[in-house]
Amino acid sequence: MSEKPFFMSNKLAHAFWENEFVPECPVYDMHGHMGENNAITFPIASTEDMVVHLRRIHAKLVFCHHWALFTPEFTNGECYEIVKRYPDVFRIYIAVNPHYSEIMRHDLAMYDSWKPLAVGFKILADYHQVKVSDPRYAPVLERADDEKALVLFHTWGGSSFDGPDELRKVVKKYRNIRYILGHAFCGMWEDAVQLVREYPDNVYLELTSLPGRAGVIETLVRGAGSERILFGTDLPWFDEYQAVGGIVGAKISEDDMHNILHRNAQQLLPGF
Amino acid sequence: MEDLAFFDVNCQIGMPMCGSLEYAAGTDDLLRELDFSGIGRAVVSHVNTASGGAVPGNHFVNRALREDTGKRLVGCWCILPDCLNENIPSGENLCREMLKNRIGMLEICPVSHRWVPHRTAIGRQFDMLAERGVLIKTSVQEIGSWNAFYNLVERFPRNRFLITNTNLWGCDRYIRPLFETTDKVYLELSEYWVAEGIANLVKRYGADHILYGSGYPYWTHTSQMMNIKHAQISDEDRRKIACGNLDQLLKEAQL
Ligand SMILES: [Zn+2]
Repeated sequence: MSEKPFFMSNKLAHAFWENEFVPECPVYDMHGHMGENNAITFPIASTEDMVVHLRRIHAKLVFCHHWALFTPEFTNGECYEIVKRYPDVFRIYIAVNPHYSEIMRHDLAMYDSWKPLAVGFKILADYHQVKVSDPRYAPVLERADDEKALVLFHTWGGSSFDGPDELRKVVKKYRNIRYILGHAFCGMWEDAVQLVREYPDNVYLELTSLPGRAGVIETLVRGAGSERILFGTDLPWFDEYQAVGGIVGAKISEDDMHNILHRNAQQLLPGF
Repeated sequence: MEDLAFFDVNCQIGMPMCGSLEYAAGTDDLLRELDFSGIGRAVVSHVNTASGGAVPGNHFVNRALREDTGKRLVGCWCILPDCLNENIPSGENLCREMLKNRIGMLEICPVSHRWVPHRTAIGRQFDMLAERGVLIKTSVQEIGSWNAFYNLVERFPRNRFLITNTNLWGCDRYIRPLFETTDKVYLELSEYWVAEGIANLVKRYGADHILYGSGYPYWTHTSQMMNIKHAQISDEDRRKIACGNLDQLLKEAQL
């Protein structure tokens, strides 16, 4: 072979290649889930198994429980009880379901008591089939705006619920929310970059399901800058090592890799 | 350092017809990409074989192999039912030509190429390939669905099939019943990212039917390399997945 492979030529990749974790590069996974999602079989989905997986690579995870998103009988209060058991590993996003305003009101009333383990909200518009600009989300978005909270939006290229046009309406209206665009409008990379350029202070692109897609990390870093990019895996959907391999194997600088894997998240979540 | 050699079973060369953020137009580009990733060898098919047809795809695979003077690449041709009389070797001649051209395995794209993989269409050819233990690759998309793949496996129980591009969003419910019931199905890992999934499959079924494949140029080489590197399996199983199983399968093909 004529040149050194990525795991020999860059220090961080080499460290992750040779070791299960790298002390100077903890991993902050900003987009995870928790628990079985019985529409698929997961090898690891219990809290304990996920903790073992995360500790292996020295990762911390901000999650929103599958059941809280998919079946409203499972409450955000129950998610909080899980996080309380592992405060060194987990934070939660409060699941927002626009079809149940009573639950939303209740969770907003509880929100202060769930802090600091609860760090914001998760909106899954494609699945709940309510556009992100719909007024049913307003109570949550207004509160998040008042408190500069994090809101993780599932986003997807071409979606009429949470694609670029819909998100732009919300970002324009609520100027203080710290937006985390899950999956970075998968497939519509130019639109993702454009939204960050328009709102460079409070819009972040999140990478779940993107490391491993050839050229995507490079395109987003080039366009939006690594300071605006957060790491994520949808754990237990995707393996932490798969996604880290996609970052440290990307053709970007080691500084970019550190920004994505931990520095940006550490700024957003002081004390975690 | 060559602690873990990788042999990519699912690598594509050429300029994708709809463009792509990454691609390797020619052999030098591909070898550079393999060098960057630390991949020693790769089985190469053409990126536009599904859309553009088997004949031009195979033509460009042949060209790539001729330009690969270091012999790091092994070719994968696409075949069709031989009654179509297209310019693809058939019968016993197929294997002779494969050997001559450094083609180690075959692929089929029935959906894009407008034929159905029934015995009526390709029975005689597949029987010969089963006899000789030649590995046949197809993706979930190109066979049409998991249902279509199950039908294929049930119709041709003696053939060795490699299923690729299994979709990111979880395929355990599709792949496990196959691993339970046949030893002729092999799983390619480019889109099998489920957390601790590789170790879980190995624990249940062993490592012999799992192969590293990148899915390049749509997927990177590096992400699944790291996943395999840190999967909680024995080093012997890791070596099998990274390269050993593919080496063995190519060796067992009697061309
Ligand atoms: Zn998610």
